[in-house]
Amino acid sequence: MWIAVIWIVAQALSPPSPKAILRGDATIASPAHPVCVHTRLIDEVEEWKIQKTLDMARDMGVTTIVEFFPWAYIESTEGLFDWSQTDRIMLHAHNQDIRVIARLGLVPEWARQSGNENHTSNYLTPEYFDEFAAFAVAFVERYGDTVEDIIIWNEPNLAFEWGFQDVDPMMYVELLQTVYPMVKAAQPDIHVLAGALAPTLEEATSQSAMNDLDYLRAIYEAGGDDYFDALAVHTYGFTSPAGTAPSQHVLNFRRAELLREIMETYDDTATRVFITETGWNDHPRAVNSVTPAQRSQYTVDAYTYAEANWPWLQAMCIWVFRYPQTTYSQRDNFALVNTAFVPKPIYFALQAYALDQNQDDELWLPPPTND
Amino acid sequence: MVATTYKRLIWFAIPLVIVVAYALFSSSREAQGKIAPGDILRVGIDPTVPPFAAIVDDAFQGFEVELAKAIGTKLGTPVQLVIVNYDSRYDALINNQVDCVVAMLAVDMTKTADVMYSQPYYDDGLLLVSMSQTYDDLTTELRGQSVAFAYGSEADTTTRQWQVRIEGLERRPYEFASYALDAMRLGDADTALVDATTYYLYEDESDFQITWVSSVPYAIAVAKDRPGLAQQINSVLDDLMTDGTLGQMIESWF
Repeated sequence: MWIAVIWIVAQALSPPSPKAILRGDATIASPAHPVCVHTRLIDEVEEWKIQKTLDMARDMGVTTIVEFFPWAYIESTEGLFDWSQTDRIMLHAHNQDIRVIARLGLVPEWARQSGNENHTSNYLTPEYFDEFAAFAVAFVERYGDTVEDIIIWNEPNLAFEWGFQDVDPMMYVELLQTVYPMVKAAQPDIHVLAGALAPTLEEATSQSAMNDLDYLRAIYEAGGDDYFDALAVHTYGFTSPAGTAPSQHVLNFRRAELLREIMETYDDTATRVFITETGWNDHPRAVNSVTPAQRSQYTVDAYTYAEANWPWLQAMCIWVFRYPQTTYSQRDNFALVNTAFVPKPIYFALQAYALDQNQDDELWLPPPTND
Repeated sequence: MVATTYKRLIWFAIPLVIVVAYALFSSSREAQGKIAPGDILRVGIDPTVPPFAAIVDDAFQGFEVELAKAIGTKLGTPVQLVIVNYDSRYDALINNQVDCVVAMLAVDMTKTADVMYSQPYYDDGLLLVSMSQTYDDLTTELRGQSVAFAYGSEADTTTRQWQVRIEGLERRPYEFASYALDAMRLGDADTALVDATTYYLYEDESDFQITWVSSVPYAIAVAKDRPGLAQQINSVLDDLMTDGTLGQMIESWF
């Protein structure tokens, strides 16, 4: 009795949780150069943080996001779908007039019952391709009116993203062959994006990954191009400026052109390309990082370059807008906004580019000197 | 006759007892996930952030490389370094690609369903650095002072929070944390708030006074089903701390 009274009093006296009140009908201005970012909203516990993230993204000039929708979260019990978090994300994205590209992946425990007992949540075997396809169908049936593009899997050319099975482009094509017809039958207007390969220079003997160029060729050789409408590409700048010429033996931003050349080789010029992950890292000590100022400049240069030179490009999305929690690793240095919603320098640089504004304010003081 | 039967039983029972005892010991060891002398200890390492770990002239080097090798030496096991990155390091552990991960892993309570962490071997928390004093009560003693930090860093967030409750606190942002230390050293700021690694790597911090503001403990992760290995690693870390080896490693790499 007393406990109940104390609890009620405590509830009455505690400050209210922040509410996520939807924006009204206010017109959202269109940016001069629309920007796309990859968000990580699915792990966000508090709804107001979903809204705040999208609000800040919209203010930066974002009109499109890529968001991850894990099968393992939504159908953790076979046949029972929990769309609550996904609905929340879609609601707030729609309210901000932000288009969502949906990345599907991550396997629930019940669909990881074959083979290796130490399997990770990326472990998907052909026995469960139909179940994954059924999830994709359920997804497009629910969100097909608002979501135009879905990405099938992430970086299947990395062993760990393939559940530590042997990297196998034929198996990925088999996955596409299963998913594509079922999704298109359910929602003919949806665009199925394939690929999303990790840029890597791994040698043919590697157990941990397959070179992305070789992997894409293998997809085409296996006739995989009949089972996707657009290609998702990951291309990172590493330590090079955006304009640095590509080479098979170098990882840089323009590696996307090498992937496009492969598409052209296979007469697939009509298929569009979405860069669903790109960016530079500004960790102070990591070997593949640049300074915060370089990161801002290179990223804006990348947008400018792509706009001028890549007519085949549909969207270019920066990895990553914000993480729900700090990891204290170099991952954090890909974010445009930290977990406390403090913008990094690149946020303002991209905002100035997107909104066609001058970035007048100096963000930091000049280096101290002895003078 | 009875004695003969008894002797036969003894001859039969002794090997049986040995076999059963070995099986029990082995299964217990395996159940605990311990590493035995002579086994290979597979250590996941991320060689992209020196001086923690890097590849130089096709060879691994760095603080965490040396730490991994020291653990192997203490356990009597050869060490095989396996490259993991910040995305794959937990999956590599869960999938038994590695026995443990020594890769700047800050303890993450959301991962404890799958992994166990050792005691910390390094702390990359924030340090408030000054030329003149340490701080017991930040709210009072930082009043009217200036603090330098790297823009967009964890220190930036912390000083924003401080500014709300510390009267007259002046925030001085710089592009790099090392510039914040320069600013403090050259008198452009009273204090600098930086991560411990930046402080350790600063060329001459001998005259600096430090106050720990936060803790970001780095620990070694092992799979949840290998408490025996976690225990072994903790025991080795105890030894390395007690005999001063860990401190010497940090001193030499930072």
